[in-house]
Amino acid sequence: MSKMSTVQGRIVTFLLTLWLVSLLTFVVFQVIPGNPAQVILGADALPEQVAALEKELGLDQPLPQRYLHWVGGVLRGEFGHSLRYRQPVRGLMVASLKVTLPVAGLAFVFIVLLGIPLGLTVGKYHLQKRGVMFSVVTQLGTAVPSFWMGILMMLAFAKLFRFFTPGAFVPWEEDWLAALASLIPPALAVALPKVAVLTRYVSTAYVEEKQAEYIRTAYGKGLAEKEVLYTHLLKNILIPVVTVLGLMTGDILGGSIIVEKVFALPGIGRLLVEAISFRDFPLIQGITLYLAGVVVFLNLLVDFLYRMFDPRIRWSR
Amino acid sequence: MKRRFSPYYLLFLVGIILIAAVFLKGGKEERENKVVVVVPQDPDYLDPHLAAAAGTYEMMFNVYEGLLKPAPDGSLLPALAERYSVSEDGLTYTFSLRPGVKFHNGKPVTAADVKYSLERLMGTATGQPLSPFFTKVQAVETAGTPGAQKVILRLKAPDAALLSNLTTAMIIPEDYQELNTRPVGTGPFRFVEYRPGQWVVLEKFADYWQEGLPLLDKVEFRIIPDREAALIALKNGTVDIYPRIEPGRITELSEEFYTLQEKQNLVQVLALNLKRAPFNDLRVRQAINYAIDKDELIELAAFGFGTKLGSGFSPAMVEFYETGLEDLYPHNIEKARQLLAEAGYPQGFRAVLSVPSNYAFHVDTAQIIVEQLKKVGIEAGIELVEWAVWLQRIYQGRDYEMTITGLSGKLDPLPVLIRYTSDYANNFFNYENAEYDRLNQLAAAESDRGKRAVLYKKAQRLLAEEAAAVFLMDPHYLVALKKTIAGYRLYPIYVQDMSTVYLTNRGTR
Repeated sequence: MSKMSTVQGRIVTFLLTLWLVSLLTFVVFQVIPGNPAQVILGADALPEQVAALEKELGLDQPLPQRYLHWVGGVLRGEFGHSLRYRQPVRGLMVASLKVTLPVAGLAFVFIVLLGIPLGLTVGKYHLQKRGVMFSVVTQLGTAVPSFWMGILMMLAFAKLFRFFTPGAFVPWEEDWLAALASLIPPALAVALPKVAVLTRYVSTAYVEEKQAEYIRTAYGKGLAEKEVLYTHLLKNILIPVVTVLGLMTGDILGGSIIVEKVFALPGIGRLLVEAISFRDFPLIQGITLYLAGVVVFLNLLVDFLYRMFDPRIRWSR
Repeated sequence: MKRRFSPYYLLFLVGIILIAAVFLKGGKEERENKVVVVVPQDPDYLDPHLAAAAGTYEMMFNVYEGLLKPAPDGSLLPALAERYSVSEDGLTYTFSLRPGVKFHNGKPVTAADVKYSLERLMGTATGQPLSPFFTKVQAVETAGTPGAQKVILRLKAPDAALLSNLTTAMIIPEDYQELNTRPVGTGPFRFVEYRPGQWVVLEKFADYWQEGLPLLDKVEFRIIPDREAALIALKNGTVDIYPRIEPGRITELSEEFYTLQEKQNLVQVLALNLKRAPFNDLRVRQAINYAIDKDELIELAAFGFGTKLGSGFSPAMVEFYETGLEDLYPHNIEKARQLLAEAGYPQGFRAVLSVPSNYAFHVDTAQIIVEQLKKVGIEAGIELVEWAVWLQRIYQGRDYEMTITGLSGKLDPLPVLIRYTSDYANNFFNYENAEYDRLNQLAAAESDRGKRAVLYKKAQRLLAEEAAAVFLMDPHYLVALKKTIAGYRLYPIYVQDMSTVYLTNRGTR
């Protein structure tokens, strides 16, 4: 196989996955009960009002037709209109991604900035008192789910310091610094359990690599301890780190969805929850498609990164 | 040395980011003449004639007005109509428009606007009514001179609920096409911005017809669906008013807050599917009524903030309320067991109690009811259903055994009590009683308020005697406010009237 066909093959798999996801979501939401028009109008609405809205929303059309119509729209780059908000799905998603992506990005930064140094420390003091203490703490950290961390963080930031305000996300265009500040607590809530996971990976890798022959050689050359660690050893640790980070990123997106609910941030997770409770099919479809796309794409990216970090891994020829 | 980079600097960096963030965020005190109210959901439509959700009405009450407007005591106040008169036969209503009223876009309100608005609701041009309340209106006519304009409604048959229904018939500018994106009304506040999932912002309308109102410059409805987050937002000062705070949480509030409470004109009901055994047996329904201890329910589920009910009507509407029914079935386990035995269930029975999972209050109530029913041998299993499912399967499909819900009250008894008439589309109780239907028909055609009240009281008694359901309580409307906020008025309907609200720490009043 040539290099090209492998890349093509991956792209085909990518598209196929997305199509299956969209089909699956569509089918699932046709099976579970719930009428969007009824939910939008509430219990006091009369059947005539509900019927009128159904007609207006196009819910009276047969299912396959609705699905084909939706797929056709997507192929033209249009995701349709939200039933609930009467606005284009794309606009709603862009607005909420302005919240979600920074949270995920910030969480990612925290994970890297905290996880790697902590991991190295734990590794360095492996089997010593300090190291054992650290690994107990990180063990605890891995056990804590991010939504619970979110509630703790919210109590800490909102009640003790009065620093963070739930639902008070400041739009970027108004004050980008304040916007950034309001995203730090949720990002930390997402990041901390992951930091613990990364710390454990890095420390294990550190301990293993420390015994490798190239390290002995490096010392033998007369290099200083720091140089051995940060240039030779760190480079070799990167492979497991990238793998774990790649797997985590999907999790970070999932994690921020739950944390958004806890912090009342108007992000894509909250949008999805609202969309589901209102049976807002176009919006649900748009968001799941996006989320699936991100996860599949990240897996692809991790593959590429492997090849960058380790020249031995090559595209199969 | 080539590389002096140490990963430990990264830790240091994180610390700096956090400290910087705290400084950036702190010390930002605003002294705007503005109030933030937390609401749980987005509006369904900004166009008042399309909107049906109570959550939309409570916000847009400040933007739109009808010919008449509800007062805090539930009576009707003249709004865009200065006066009105009704003919002897109850078939002609004449409204004299208040002169000098302006829309938010600066245009004066004319009789033509009123005619346009009412006919849009009635579906005169399209054949598709937007509101079910004006089917008895034959024609809308305009009359008078430009200085003293009149609108005349001619009815096919008398309609006792017409005046209160007119409070929901919002008057909009004729042929204005952008209502759903840029609402224009005549209310004390004008619409500024709606961001899905975030907020609805309103600002003071300087040309409002009521002298001196509104008192605030700005009102923001902050959308926070999560109740925990809403409470924290109140506690840390982002939000000034928290309507419908859970009664169990008010003890957590500090000295900076106060609460107001009132009956909210809501009927919390344990509905029993009357088309299904054993609930088709009156004795079984009466037994359940005897088995349930409403006082305990109010104490445990509502922390005492509730009023006991005996029929499908709240004492919030005192004029039409039949008193004494709340003691028709005093808590009595022996009596309940005896009735069950007579009905052929000496050992009790099993049943499913379906509860909408998004209403924590109904879920709490259900748990207590399960315990109370257990004492008479009825084993009820709770089934939590999502709201969308509840609406479709239980409310519309009437596929359930027992369920708990809250039926919201209106300014008029008609829409409240019509829910149990046999031909009503959403009569999910499956209650059918010819005498009950007759009483409602008579009351709907009766224009004398006193006589109507008598008919509606009889209807309530009938519901109670027939044990059409277990009418539990009217859980009180509780609102938490910052101590710096005054002028908040409670209504027997779902509205947030911001026109009289003001800040006490501004000193400008």
